[in-house]
Amino acid sequence: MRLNKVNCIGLGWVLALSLALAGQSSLAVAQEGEEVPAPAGDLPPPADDDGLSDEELAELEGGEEDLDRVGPEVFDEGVKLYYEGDYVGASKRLWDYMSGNAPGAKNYGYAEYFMALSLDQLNLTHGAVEYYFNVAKNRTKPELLPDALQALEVLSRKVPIDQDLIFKDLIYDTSFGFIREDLRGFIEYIQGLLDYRNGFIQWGQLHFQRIDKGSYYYYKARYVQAVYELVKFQLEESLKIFEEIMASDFEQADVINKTRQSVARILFEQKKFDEAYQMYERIDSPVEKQASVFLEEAWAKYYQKDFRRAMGLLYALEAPAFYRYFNPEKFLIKALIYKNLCHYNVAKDAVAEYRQHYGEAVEAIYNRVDMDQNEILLDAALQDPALIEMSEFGGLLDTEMGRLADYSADWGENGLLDHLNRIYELKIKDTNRRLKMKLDRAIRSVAEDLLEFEEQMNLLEYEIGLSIYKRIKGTPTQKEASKQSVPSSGPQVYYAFDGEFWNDELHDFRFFIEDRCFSEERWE
Amino acid sequence: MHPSVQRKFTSLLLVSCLLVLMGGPLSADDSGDLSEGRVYAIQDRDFRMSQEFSVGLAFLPLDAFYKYFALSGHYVLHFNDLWAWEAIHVSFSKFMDINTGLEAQMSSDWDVSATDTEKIDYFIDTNLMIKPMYGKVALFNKWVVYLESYFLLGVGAEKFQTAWFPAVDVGAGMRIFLTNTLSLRFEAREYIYIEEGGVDSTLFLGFGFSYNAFAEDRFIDRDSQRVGVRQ
Repeated sequence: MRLNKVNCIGLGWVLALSLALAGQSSLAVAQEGEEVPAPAGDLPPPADDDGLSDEELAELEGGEEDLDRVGPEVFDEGVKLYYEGDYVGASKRLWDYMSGNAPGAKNYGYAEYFMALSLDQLNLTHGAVEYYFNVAKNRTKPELLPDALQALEVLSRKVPIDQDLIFKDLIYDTSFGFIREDLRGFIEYIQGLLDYRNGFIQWGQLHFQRIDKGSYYYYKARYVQAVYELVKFQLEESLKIFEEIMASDFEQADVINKTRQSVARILFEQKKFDEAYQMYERIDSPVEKQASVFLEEAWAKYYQKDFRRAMGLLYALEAPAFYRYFNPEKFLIKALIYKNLCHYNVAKDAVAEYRQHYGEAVEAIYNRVDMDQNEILLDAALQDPALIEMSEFGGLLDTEMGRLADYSADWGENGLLDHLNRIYELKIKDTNRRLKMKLDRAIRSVAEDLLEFEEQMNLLEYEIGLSIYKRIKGTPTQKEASKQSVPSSGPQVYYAFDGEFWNDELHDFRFFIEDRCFSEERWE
Repeated sequence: MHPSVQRKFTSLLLVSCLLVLMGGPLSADDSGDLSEGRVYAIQDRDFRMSQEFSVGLAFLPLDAFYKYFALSGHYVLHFNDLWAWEAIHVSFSKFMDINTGLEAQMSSDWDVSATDTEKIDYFIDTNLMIKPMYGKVALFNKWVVYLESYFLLGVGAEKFQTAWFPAVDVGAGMRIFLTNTLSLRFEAREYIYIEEGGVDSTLFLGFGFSYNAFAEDRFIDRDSQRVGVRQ
């Protein structure tokens, strides 16, 4: 819900009419009686689609009397302050201008654009996005459209933004006509992506075909197409597209790393564990974002029976950066490794450790209490990819709204502070509502996963017990164990782990442990 | 305490402290029993020395009559990551001394003249080098700096104004790697030389820039093995 103007009170039906006629989709007010904008009365009276001039509309809304007319010199002052780098002052004066004029006023579109720029400079990105949206959607100043879209494109890559507002309401729902080349990729990609999501594959393909080859959005589009092939279980076709992305000299880390991880997963499914591991190792995203990579690598190494490396990767997952990562699998692999090395007691300890971490959550599921009250389940659900962006966006809104108070001295008097506070409050409420809707489903999914792990851990515990029994009954052989040692020098450095995690070491952990199975007579 | 004994004691103490400080953490690395499991971060060395050419400055602080500065040059052949041979070290201190004024003061205040005030001209020595410590430290929590410590044991000679004296020397130092080919080294050496009347010593404090020739022969390209985990 967005408000871009105050000072005018209108009835709901008048609002609906004015929105429909003026195309002000950014001015949405949910309840009757909230403040709405009104067009100015002294504007030239262009004929509306329905034959109503702005004057007539203004008369209908009765807003003319409510406006304090503010002259263009206020706008000029705002722009001057912007170019002088005084973004707080610029926002203040631009708001003076906007709140004293109707959206149809001569410089209103420019005022919105400069307001967006100023808020952007002040790192109030959501406020900026709202105004860029207005500029791009209303197009009262069509010449500003490319700049507004450009700014939105940059913000969409830098910070979490309101994707429903920008991607769905603005880009997907709008035909922009001719768009300059450097923006076409962004627009076509978003439109194609949403077509794919909505199942309109052919339309999506048409959009993707219009993107310049070799550009950032071209490879993002190819990635979407590869994932679509994957969803259809066309592994070979999917791999072909992924390999095309990797073979390019394209260096955008997000696309390349997602591609690497996807390829590694396919290779893993094809039981090419070594190749999968090598592919995982090529991922160079920030290490704190590699929790899933570590876990998947550990599985690959486990299947290769390289337990030392697999366990090292699990140790890396103990790093504080991964504290919140929901990974009951870690305990499962750990217990399996210990069991495979015939360290049965510690294998049982790993099972106990799992219960210590997740026992309370499992109990909550069994007891059918409100699962969204359980911190572990809630935290795990919030790691659902669909929710991560939304919760990050919620976090950004909270942060930015908190920072608005810093400007209370400058923006308190003229109402800009209240206006921005209201924008943020409404968006936070809306985001929380949407988050809650998706959260219920995510919690249920986490609960199901956890029950499955619980079952596997129970089975594993039983198998460990059985192995202990077999060992007691067995006769030791004379087989020699391979000795492990740490060299005192050499081309490799061995940093004994003392509990302090260094980012550059997380990929290099190895677990040295004796294989106690050497003296065991196996029944099989 | 006799001044010469005190001087020896002081210099030995300095070197010992340096050795203890640099050697102390060694005891923390307890390889221990691997049977119950132990985690190591195993990394290829980012910095490996090959053939080292070094130039530097030195300061000889313990002579009561003269404080010496010296220009130094070294060539070190690194056999591997643990052992190296400092084939030659030359430090030239002739004409680079500062008179402390003690001799003049003794003469004017007490009418006493010093008997043994020979100046050092230069050193030349060859040393065995052992490099047991290699690691990284966090600098201001912003940068990771790689270090190596080394210990020296060697033989050589000290040339005074009138004569050569054979010497043995021990020392310890620390190398800070700047790049694969450039490093800074800081070191302290104690030269114990045999003079006509007995044994005496000279403390040598130096630092220098080293160029690691043929570094590429020993460079392990971690990035070719794994891309970008360094932060």
